[in-house]
Amino acid sequence: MSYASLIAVWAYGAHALGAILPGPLETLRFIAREYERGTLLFHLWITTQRVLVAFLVALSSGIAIGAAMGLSRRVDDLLQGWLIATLTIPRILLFVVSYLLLGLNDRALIIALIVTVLPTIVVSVREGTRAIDGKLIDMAHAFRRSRSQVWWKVVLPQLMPFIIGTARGSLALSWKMVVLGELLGRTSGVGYQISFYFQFFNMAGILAYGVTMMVLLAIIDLGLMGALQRRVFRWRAPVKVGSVG
Amino acid sequence: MSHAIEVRGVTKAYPLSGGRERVALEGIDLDIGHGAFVCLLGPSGCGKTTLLNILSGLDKANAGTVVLRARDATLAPVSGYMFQESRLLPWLTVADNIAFVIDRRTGGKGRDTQDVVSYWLDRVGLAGRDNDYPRQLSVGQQQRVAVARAMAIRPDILFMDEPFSALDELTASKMREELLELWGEINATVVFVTHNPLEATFLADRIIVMTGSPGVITADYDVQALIPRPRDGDDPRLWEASRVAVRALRTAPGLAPA
Repeated sequence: MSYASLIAVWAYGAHALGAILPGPLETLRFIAREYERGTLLFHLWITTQRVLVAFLVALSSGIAIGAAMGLSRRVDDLLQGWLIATLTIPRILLFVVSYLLLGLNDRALIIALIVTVLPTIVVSVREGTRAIDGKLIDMAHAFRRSRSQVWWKVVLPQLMPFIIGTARGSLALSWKMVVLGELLGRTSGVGYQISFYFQFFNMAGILAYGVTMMVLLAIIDLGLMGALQRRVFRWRAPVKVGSVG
Repeated sequence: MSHAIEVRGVTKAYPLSGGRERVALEGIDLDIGHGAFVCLLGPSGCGKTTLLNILSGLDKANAGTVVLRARDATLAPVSGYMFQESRLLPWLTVADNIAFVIDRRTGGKGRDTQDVVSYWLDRVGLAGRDNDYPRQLSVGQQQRVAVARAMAIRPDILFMDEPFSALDELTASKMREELLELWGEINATVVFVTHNPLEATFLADRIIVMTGSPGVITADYDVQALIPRPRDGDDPRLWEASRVAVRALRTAPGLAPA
């Protein structure tokens, strides 16, 4: 119902504004055309690869850094300044500075993306580590469980709500920020296509890629990540989950 | 004869602000024989849980030594622990919670882990609940799983810290009887912390009375001589014997009036 009203308002707006705003059908036709030409999937795949690499690196290093900060006062003091700096830096500045330092290449884009999402992952995992129930760890020690058993069976499951929550948010954020990064300094990917059509004031082209990214994010976040969340939290009383950050 | 537990001069102090410290345990000496059921009885804050944690290795003493032994002196002793709360891992099923503590050294001993788990679940009256999660069980049932978990490793020494004090008395008294039955089966040395004199008298071969602070042993007496097993929870001798413990608690030196 809510999706239907969204599309209805869009269609009405397109009708009222005339030539300036293409309607849903026109946009869909443009998407189909781009698909047939092969450009849609080509650029989508490039963008997806960039997001995946940045997201996986940020998530794994974010878990390690966050856990280290949560467990050790010294590491926390040491990295606190870095955390504040990376949390407060304007995102767009990150991309510009990264391109200027490293050149207009994928490395610069991916590093800027990592720095964009890493600090929020670190903060979340650090909070999660501080909330760990020491009584359960005592239980594991009383039964002489090994370090790896304690980590996998006792500590990690307690971090999972924090990890999955921040992973959903970070994936959504990097999915949106990658477009900006590509628009600023790459010659491939969805962001580049949008800047390309922008130069021709081709609104249908811009909307076609924009809508495709939105739909894909909704599918990945609600479908994939939601399913993962439900699977990991089977042991809890069932609760409804919804996100897209 | 060697003992299952030997404690010599164990002292434990916690630092307070301003360089002072609170002495939780002072000069504890204790020998516990193999297969004995010993209760540490005392008021809250007398250091009995601290002593239990030092015996089990969860905490370290500032001074003194603790030696644990298996009956077969060539083997390292296996110890289990039961807490006041079940401390089950909520993300694991009942069966996986028990399997979590079992390995080749403990409990398994050539048997299939699944068989061990099923056997002990059956023994605590929870047959068929293998795939339930802890939240699907009542508090009493969760504590039964904790009993099964502690028994499944066939411990040489079992540490228990007021495991039934959070349960209603009806459930608690039933579980005490069952515990004695299981204890007879696994033949473990048990150190059971409680503040309840009647519970201590019903369960123990021997009661060690502690008072704080600092935590010291003020009385140590043999219940086995007073009331032979099997014991009946309604036996009036039990009540009388428990008065001995109560008197020991009351007359202990340095005990603040309650």
